[in-house]
Amino acid sequence: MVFLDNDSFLTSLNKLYQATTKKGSVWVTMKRYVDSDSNFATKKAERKHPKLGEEENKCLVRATNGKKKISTIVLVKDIQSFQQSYKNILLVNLNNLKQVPKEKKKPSSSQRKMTP
Amino acid sequence: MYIADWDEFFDKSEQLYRSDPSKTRFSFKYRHVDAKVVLKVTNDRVNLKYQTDKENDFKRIDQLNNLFFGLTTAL
Repeated sequence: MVFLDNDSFLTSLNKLYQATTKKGSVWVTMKRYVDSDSNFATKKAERKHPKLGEEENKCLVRATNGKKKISTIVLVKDIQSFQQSYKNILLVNLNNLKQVPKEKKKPSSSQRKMTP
Repeated sequence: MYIADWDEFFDKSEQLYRSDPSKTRFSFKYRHVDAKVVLKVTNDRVNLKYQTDKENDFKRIDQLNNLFFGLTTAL
């Protein structure tokens, strides 16, 4: 599996979202990634029971639209910035969800403009 | 089966991950055409799903993202 670096992953993810506005879906999956799980040079039994605390845990993030697949590994030191950039991409692209008017408040379009 | 109650879904997701960190994954599906979001947490045995189409559930999606970013990189 080829892993993209964090930035190109986010760029590709953004493109993936933009390409599916007319049809299709995008799946983003994340799970823990441990090097020894994917190191097929070691024995299976060893892979199944990695020694605890020896490896830094990483976050594997994958995305697909059913055809194109992209993936990246996020290290602990990068998690904060990745988290923020990822959130921004979602904010931009999840623009089709239903707006629920707040209870007992007038439509706040004018109020929103005033707050920075 | 979808779980309707967010807090229940969130708590169960975290429990599921902690019970089996190497197998549990979190999948987030967004379908722009239908304006639909499905959040799924599974370890291939237990399957937890939550769906929404509302904008103010965004903070929940973000909450779960943060949970998994945190859990997967915790020691």
